Amino acid sequence: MSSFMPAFILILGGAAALVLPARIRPALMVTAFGLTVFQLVVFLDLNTTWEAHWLGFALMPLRVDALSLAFGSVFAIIGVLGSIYALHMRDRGQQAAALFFGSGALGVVFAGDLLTLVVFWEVMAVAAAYLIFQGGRPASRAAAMRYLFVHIVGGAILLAGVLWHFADTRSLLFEGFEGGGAAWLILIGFAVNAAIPPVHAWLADAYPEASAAGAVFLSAFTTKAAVYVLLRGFAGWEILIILGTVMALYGVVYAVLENDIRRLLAYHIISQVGFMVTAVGIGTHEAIEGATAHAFAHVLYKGLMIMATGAVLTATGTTKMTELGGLAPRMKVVFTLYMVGALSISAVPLFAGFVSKPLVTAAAHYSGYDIATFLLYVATVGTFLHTGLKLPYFTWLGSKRATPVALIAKVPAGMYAGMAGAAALCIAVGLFPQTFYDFLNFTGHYAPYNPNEVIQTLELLVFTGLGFWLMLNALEPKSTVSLDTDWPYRHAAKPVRVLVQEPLERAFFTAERAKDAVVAWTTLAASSPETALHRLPLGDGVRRAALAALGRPPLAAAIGAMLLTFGVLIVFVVLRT
Amino acid sequence: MRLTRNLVAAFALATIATLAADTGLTLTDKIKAHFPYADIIGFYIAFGLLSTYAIVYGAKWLGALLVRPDNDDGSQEHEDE
Repeated sequence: MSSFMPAFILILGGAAALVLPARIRPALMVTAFGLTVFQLVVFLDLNTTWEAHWLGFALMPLRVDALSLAFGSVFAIIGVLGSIYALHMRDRGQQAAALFFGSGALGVVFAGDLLTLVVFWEVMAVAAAYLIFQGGRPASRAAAMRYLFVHIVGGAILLAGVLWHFADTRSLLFEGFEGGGAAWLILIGFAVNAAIPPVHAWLADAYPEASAAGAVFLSAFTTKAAVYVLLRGFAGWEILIILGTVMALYGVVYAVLENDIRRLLAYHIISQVGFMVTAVGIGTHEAIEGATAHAFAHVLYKGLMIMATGAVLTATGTTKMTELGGLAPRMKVVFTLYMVGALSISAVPLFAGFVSKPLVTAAAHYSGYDIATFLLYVATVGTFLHTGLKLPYFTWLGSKRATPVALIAKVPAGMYAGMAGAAALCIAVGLFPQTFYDFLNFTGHYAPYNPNEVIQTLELLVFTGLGFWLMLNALEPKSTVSLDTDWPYRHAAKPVRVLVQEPLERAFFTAERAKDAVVAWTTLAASSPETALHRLPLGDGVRRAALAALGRPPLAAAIGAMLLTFGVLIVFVVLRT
Repeated sequence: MRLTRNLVAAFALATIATLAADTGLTLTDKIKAHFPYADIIGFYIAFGLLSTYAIVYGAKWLGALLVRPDNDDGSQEHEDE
């Protein structure tokens, strides 16, 4: 069981989901992801590789080390929890897409060569786009097409970089890049999936349009797989420190403007991935382990929060804070589970984020990046402000609505089970940090529970709470949408249609008509040459000569044609020499 | 409302406790701040409050440029798309 790629189980599961009946598919999803967890945790040994040769390329479709095993494990774990959450789902396409999406993510993190990586990268893009497409909301299809467009462009840039890299080095092995044009292209390809500004807007555009269950898989795989490949290929690239801190702040600033709770969380994915990207840029051993721990914890708590907001969507039919409020007495369990995720992402002691996020800020501090450290703390404040205070307050607590939002559906038991599992893991990670670090095969020694760190964090968060209370009116959600960097390609549609699409369509239409006319005339010429000649726009003299030629014996015509051909050939050969 | 009141009370208690702990740690020189000037009493109080203020009002300023009315069809699409 240990000798094959972990992605195979999910590929088989996805293929089976396409043909098996609805009553079996939910269990199939849980089983496929569960077997993958089993394979990764129990059977797959560190430092296992699988090498292969294909079309003259030396490939390594499987490379297992501490880094890939950490990311692979959390992908499989969230796959199990997401599948439990989606037990009520009967949509064959979404179930198969979730399994293929998971296989793509696992394929990427265990790929030891760039060709395997690109293949699974595209599997992820297509599967994710389908999950969004099937979201069941009015805008899902358009958002899915935009997602696909962005990721196909990103994938093409990545492929170009890989080919350039191969041309330079004659190697496809995926290792750290030193620099050069090829590396920059590959970095841009990875940056699209990591949602690094300005190529980030697809995330907040697309994720909220997925179904409640689909969004769980989306929030886990794409950006974290990108963090993995950045860690593998670009550790120590200092530009990523700047981009990471920009991401960390960008997400929290845009979250102020958001009215939709799922878009708000989507912006916080960008912010949290910013912490990880900053750590990649720092590139020290501590920073890399910090980014890994934070990615692992983030998959769990963000998955939990997305699940909880999905439960709100299921129960109320809306995700807009202007329409929500006062839900806590009627959705106590969902509220409580959401708060476990919110306290985790805010790095409150005893929850998952507290044993992962400080590793990143400490790495920034000890590496001498004081400005980055400072800005990451500001982002920490923003994270608690929105996910720990604004979202729960305006969704579950205070409300100025005269009529509370109606509950239109019951939250399925599977949703509760999935959320409870994620919440249990968030607390377990927070309570037992050393076990968590050992599970991730960390070699550094970290002690997050020291009085200094605990008090500083609590003080920061408590006074953010006071700031929230003082600025409650300013944070009141409004029924608006915010423009982001997706504006150009949303609005590029019309100019592209007028300047590119329509001229091209006219050219193709003209060429097709010409081809049809030639085919029709040739067919006519074969059956009735005289009629065909009459239809040609020829002068009278030429037409008479042609008609006369048609009346000659066939042998003479053939000899004439042969001589003419030879003549043309001789002229051609003479001119060439 | 009861839940909200309880949460506010918990916040108030936490505020007092963290202030006392911060003062104790600073006076005994046990603060190891992650950036310059953070090892003074009340630094994180000011940091939390000012950061909240900066994020909220910075975003409001940005929002004046970037927000558009929601077309309210449940889609979050931009109205002029």
